[in-house]
Amino acid sequence: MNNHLKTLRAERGWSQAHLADLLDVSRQTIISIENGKYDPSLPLAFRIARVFEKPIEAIFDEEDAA
Amino acid sequence: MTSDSATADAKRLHPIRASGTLALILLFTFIGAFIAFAFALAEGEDWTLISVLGAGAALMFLLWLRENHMAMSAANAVRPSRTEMRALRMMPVQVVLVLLYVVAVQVSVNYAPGLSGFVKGALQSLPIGLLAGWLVAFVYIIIESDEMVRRMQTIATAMGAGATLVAATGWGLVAMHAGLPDFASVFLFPAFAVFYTLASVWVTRRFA
Repeated sequence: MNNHLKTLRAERGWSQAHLADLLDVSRQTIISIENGKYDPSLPLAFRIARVFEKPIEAIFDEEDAA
Repeated sequence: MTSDSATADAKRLHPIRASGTLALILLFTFIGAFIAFAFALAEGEDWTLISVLGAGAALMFLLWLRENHMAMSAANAVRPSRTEMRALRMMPVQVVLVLLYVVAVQVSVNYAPGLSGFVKGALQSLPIGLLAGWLVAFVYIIIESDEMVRRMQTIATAMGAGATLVAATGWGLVAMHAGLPDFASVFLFPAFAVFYTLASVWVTRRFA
């Protein structure tokens, strides 16, 4: 799944550590989500949407079918 | 502070440094070897090898502690999350329990036979209680970690347990047909420690 986490984080001037703190996850989790190596669970996706004050669909995209 | 100057400051603060992952690998490998040889030599008098491996395990533990302390106290250090703090608190507990486990096994083999009654029974059953404590700490770390780290640890546990089962069963088949000595079940725990460590490295590279 694609995501715009890195862009949204940069717009707000937040570090990965700060975002991890807001979401109560490890910085490693934020890095893996931004690199597309890990898709968050639904509760975490909702927390991310709440932190950025955007709907989930504005942050996460399904990958295009091949 | 720019990124380059922050990196330079970090290097000046701790010039001699093992990577956190390398320190952890060395730690678990030494502990695994220490336990394995301790059991193998439990009835012998060759304390030299056991002492060297035990000292190596203790040194690797101190190296890991030093690495974590430097990483957390550096000027550019990132404050660990609450879930990471819980894991960092439980890991030394695990290491101490394992070292006490080996000491308890040595005591139960070498000194308990001379005792009798409740004290003898308590001493000889103490090792498994320490191992159970290690397991509780292990499960606690997995449950209290954040979702991605928990997933990584679960995958590493499954891979480590699977590799241990395959290795032990494979050796059992070889021993059955070739008349070689059986794989003693007391070696399953150190074997799992080593396989789990290797699996953790692979899983970390896969997800991180």
